[in-house]
Amino acid sequence: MIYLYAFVQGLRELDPSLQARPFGSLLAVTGDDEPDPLRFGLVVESLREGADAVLPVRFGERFAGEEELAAAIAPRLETFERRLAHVAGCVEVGVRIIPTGDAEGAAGGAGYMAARLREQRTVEEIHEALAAEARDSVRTSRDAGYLLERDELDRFSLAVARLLESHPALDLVCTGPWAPYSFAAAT
Amino acid sequence: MSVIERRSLAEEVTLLDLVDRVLNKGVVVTGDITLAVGDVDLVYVGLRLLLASAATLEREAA
Repeated sequence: MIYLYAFVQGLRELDPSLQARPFGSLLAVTGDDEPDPLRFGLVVESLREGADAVLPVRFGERFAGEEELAAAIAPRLETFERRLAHVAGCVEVGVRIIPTGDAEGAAGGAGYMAARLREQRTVEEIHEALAAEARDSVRTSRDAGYLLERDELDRFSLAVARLLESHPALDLVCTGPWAPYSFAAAT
Repeated sequence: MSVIERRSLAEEVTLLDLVDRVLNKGVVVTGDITLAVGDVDLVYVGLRLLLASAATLEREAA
């Protein structure tokens, strides 16, 4: 069985238990041993450091052999190349906004709704401010992912620090840098 | 200390984030994902452990 981890370009080092198989301008990083999600994630993160560009593949892609792997990749190779170009040289930073708890403490339904609305506006504001600093961004209600070039990390950290200062009642959990998972989905 | 370096403060959260990314994001090649067929139990025990550690963290924060 072949397990697929990621597509990469500019690969500098690879764990000896893994293989790099060329497809077009990409290398598909594969392994013969079944990974658990944690091991899988650690491999992808090591590729973030060991390659110029990495496009993570969703966990669970397995192929009976080389032919099956090639047959699955070939029809969508151009899409993968395009997505990899989009994230090349970039990392992802995750930001989670922790609510202040104002809404929970508010008296009455109207007070609760007003507090929730304020909370939502603040989340919106913060996302917009951070998205302006990033090459690309995605978000769900309170979680957001920002695509940054590697050398933009310090500047982004400063932007987060400034937001924390201007919103003293708010907590942000900032994680990363990650491989650009949230920007890999082919569209 | 940069904000991004603060991740060490919440290692469990980061671990959960990592697994969340691995399981829910990334490019789909076949569109037919099989979660660790040979080792189903291990995967799910692992996830429960991670969820439990996140719940512990929330309790401690409360």
